[in-house]
Amino acid sequence: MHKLALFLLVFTFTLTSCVKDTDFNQADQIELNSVVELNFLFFTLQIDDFKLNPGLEGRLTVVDTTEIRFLNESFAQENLVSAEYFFRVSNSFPVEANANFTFMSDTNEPFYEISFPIQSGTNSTPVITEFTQVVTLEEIAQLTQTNKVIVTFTIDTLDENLSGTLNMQSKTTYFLKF
Amino acid sequence: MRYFLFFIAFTCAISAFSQNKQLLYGMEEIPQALLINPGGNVPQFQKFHFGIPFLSQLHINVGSSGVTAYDIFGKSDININTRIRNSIFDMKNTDFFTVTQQLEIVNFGWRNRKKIYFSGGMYQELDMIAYFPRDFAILAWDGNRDYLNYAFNFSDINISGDLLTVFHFGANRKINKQLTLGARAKIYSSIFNFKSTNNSGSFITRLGDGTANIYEHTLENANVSVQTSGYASLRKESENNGSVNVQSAILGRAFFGGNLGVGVDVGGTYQINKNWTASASILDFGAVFHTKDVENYQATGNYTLNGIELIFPPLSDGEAAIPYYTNLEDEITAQVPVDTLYNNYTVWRPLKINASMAYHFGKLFGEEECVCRNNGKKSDSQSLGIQLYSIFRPKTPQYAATLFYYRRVTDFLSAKATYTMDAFSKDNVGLAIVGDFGNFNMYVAADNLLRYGNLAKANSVSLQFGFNIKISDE
Repeated sequence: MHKLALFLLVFTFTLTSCVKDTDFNQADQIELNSVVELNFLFFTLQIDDFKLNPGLEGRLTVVDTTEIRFLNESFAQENLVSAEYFFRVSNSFPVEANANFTFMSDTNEPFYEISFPIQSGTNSTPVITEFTQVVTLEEIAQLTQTNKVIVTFTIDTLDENLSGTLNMQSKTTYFLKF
Repeated sequence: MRYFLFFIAFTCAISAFSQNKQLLYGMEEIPQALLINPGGNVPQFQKFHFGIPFLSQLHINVGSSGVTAYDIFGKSDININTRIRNSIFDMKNTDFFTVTQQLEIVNFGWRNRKKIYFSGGMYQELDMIAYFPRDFAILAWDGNRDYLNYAFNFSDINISGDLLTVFHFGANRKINKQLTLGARAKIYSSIFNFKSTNNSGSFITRLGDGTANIYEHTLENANVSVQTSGYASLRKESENNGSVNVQSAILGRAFFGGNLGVGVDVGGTYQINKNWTASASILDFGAVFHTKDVENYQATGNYTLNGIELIFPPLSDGEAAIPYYTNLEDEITAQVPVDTLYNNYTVWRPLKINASMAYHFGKLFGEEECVCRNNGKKSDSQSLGIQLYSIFRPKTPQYAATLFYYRRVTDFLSAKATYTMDAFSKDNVGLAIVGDFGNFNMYVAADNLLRYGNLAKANSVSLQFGFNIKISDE
C-alpha cells in the first residue's frame, strides 16, 4: 500500500505537462484593421470673403492652407492602407462653384489632388452637394508624402453683389492596418 | 529510493508550471505556511528552521481570467484575427491579467523557552494586475466608425504594479489546547511602483446635427492619471548618461533605500474538538508610502474636436499662413492639459483573507496507529475541508473557494489535493507534496492539473517550491 501510494503520486506528476495544439507562428498573421472616422475641414463663406481677393480667371476665389502633419508621419506611412474623404457643401449662391484640395509635401510639391464641382443654389433653398473621394491603396503612398493641403474655392461669377452662403463640412475615413 | 521518487515528482511538477497558495495553506510541515497563516499550527517537535537562501520559496503565477493562449493560438480553421476579435467581445472589463512572483531570500524560525515560535525573513515580490481595457481594445481593433454615440470609458484603464522587498518578523504561540494565534510585522521597501486605477470620463464620436462639422469627437470629463515612484530617477539617469545602472538602483531600494511601508499579518487556528479545526488569517494589512522619486501624470478636461475651421484670410504676398494645426494642438493642450505632479501617494497592499474549516481523521498507510510525532499525542493523518480566499484588487475583491483533502502518506511524505473555483476557472485541481528527509524539507505544489496535458488551455499557470532545513526535538 505504501509503495502503491508513492507510485500513484509520482505517476500523477509524471504526466508531462506541455503546450500543444497551438501554433504561435500565427502571431505573424495578426492584423488590426481599424477604421477611424475623423472630422476634416469646415468653414462658411459669405460674399465678403470673396470680395477681399482678386478674381481669378473670371471667378471669385478664396484660398487657404493648413498643415495636416500626421499624414507624412511614419505611423501613417506604415499603417494607412486607404482613405475616404467625404465633403458636404451647402450652397445658397445662385451660381455654381468649384472646390479643390491640393495636398502638398514639405517642399511644396503637389502629390495628391481632390476636385469637385458644387451645384448652384438659391437664396431661399441652399443646395447640398456631397462628394466622396476614395484614396486607393495605390494612391495612399502619394497622400502620405504630404503634410499640408491648399484649399481653393471658386464661384463662377465676378459679381461681388451676389448674396448667399457656402458652407462646407468634411470628414475622413482612415483605413488602418497594423 | 525515496529521494529519487521525490526528485521525479518535483521535476515534473516544475514542468507543470502551475501552483496556487491554497495548496500550502495549513500545511504545517512547510515552514512557509506561516507566511500564509501566522497563526497556523507549528509542529510541537519543530525547534528551529531556516530556508536555503534564495531557494526556500519561489512562487510564480501568471493568470488571465478571460482568455487562454489556446483561445488565441489554438490550431483552428478560424482565422486568428477572428478569434482575437471574438475574445475581445467575449471578455468583460472586469477580466484581468495578473503576474505575481515571489522569491524568498532569507527565512528562519525558532521556538523559545516560552514555546513561542518566532519566524522572520526577507522576500522579494512582483505583483502586477491589469484589467482588460475592453472599450479601448474595441476602439483599437475596430476603430470608431461602427461605434458612433458609444462612450469609450477611461475607467476601463486600470493597471497597477509593484516591485518590492518585504522584511518580516512574526510570532506564533499555542495559547491553550484549542487556540493558536500568530502575528507578523512587515516592512515594505518599494523598488518600483506604478498605478493608474482611478480614471474616469469618456471619448465619444457623435454624428452632428446642426453642428459645425459632420462629427463631434468629444472628451467628456476626462480624468486620467498615472502615478509612479522609482521611475523618474531612472529616466533622468538614462537621459543624462544614456544608460541606467538598474542593478545598483534596485539593490539600494531593496534594502530600505526606496519608499517604505508597514504592514501586518494576523491569524489563528482553533481546535473546535477532536476532529474539527477552524483557521483564518489576514495578510498584508498595510500600505507603502511613496514620498521619494515620485512622478505622476494627470490629464483632465473636456474638449470637442470639430476639425480645422478655415477662415480664408485675404490673399497677400509674403504673409505667413495661419497655423491652424498648431493652434488646434495648443487648444487641445489648453483644454486637456497633461500635468506632471510630484505629490506623495499611498498604495494599500492587496489585502488577503484566508479562512478554513477542516475535519481530521484516519491513520498512516501501513500503520496500526498514527505515527505519534505530535509531541507524544496521537496525530490524525488525514483531513478534509474547505478553504475560502479573497484578495482585494483595485476594481473588486477576487474570491476563491477550495475543497481539500490532506494525507500524511508516510512518516516522511505528505500530500494535499485541492479543488478550487476562482475567477480563473471552476475546475482547478491541485496537488502539493512535502517531503521531510531527515532535517531536509522539500515541497512542491502544482495546480491546474486538469490542464496539465495542455497548459495552453489553462487560464492561470503557477509554480511554487522550496527547500528548508528543519531541526526537531526528536
